[in-house]
Amino acid sequence: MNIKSKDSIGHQAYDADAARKRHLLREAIEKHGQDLMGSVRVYVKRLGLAKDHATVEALAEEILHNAVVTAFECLDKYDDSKPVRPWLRGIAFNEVRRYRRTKHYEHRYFTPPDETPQVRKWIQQSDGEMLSEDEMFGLLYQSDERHHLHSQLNFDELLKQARDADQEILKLAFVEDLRGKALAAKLGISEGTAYTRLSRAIARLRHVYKQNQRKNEEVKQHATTE
Amino acid sequence: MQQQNNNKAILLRERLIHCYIQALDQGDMEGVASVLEAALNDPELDRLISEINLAYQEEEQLISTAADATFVRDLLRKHFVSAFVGDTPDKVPLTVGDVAARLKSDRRVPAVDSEANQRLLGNAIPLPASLSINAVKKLAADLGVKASEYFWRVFRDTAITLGMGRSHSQAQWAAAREEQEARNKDRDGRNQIIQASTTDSEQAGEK
Repeated sequence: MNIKSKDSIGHQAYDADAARKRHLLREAIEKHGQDLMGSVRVYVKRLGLAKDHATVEALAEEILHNAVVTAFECLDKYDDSKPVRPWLRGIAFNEVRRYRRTKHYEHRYFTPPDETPQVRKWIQQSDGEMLSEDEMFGLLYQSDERHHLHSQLNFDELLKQARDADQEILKLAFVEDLRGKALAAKLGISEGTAYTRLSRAIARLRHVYKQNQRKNEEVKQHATTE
Repeated sequence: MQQQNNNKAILLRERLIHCYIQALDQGDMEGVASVLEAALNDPELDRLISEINLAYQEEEQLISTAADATFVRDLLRKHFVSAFVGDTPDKVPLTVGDVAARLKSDRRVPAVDSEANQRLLGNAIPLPASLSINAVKKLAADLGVKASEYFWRVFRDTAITLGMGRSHSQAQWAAAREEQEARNKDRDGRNQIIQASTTDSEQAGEK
């Protein structure tokens, strides 16, 4: 720790900046510790470091523990004009990455594909020529301009290709323009769940759209040859 | 123009959220890392990441328990002091700011003195070794912060309590360090076992 100067009353003054950062960090750990613990659990499970609950729990504790120590050690690098929580979460995530790298977990303990969501299966089944995320976002947001009749027609066409369960959330998001809390309230679910459902619906739609496009092209080609 | 910029920011945030969810669904570390990096400058994105992680916890049935709170408290108790670079607790004196922060968190600051306490927050001047009434009065005069007599009395009581806790934590610090070293040894041992068993099974497979 740096001792910068002697203060007016004769005590050794510790670096005020470091003291303030320590204070902020301690407050953040007190306030967001449980939230961070939850995030680390998610990363440990989703990124394939552990499968069963007991191992997830033990690893998450160890990783959060190391993250807190690392945060203290590199506190001087923290820019206190920015919030502490994302900085801490980033450190915790780096610990997860470091853990996976050093333990070679990625090859031996990765979550088997049959335990991952449907989206993952579809992505694995695809031939890598899927519509890019940006293209799908472009399509949806273009269609979002509902005053434009042409876009509205495009969106309806697009929506028909989505599976029934996804149509509701896609309509709410891109026709009724509901997002975040409003979307969650309408569906009676949490905001985080609303975002995950919407994201997966977009991913599935992207896949189906591309498949249908390919089929149409094949039909056209077939018709031309005949 | 302002509206346009806001819309752009919202669209970018939604795009990042989508990337984050897709990266988590696909086990893509780099994808997650890049969104977490973007969240450093965007508190709203950080809040949404927390919400999404909560949704994943529910989905994976990784529900937080009361034990989490205990674990976090334990973390702070064990490592808050000991984790400072190269310092043991006896080298880190209690500061005026520490006492002010505790007063604030315990809501012991009288309304009339809240401004005075606010000024003391973050003050890095160490407390005098003796916390006699006279020493605290002198400290108050040196600091040049005007507050009620009651405030300084509560300030002194809190400083003494924190000082006692610090002495206790010095003993705990040594124990925590020992425990951490033992954990590290244990972890290294576990890794060696995993590596050894992996090599064994690979060799068995080759045979």
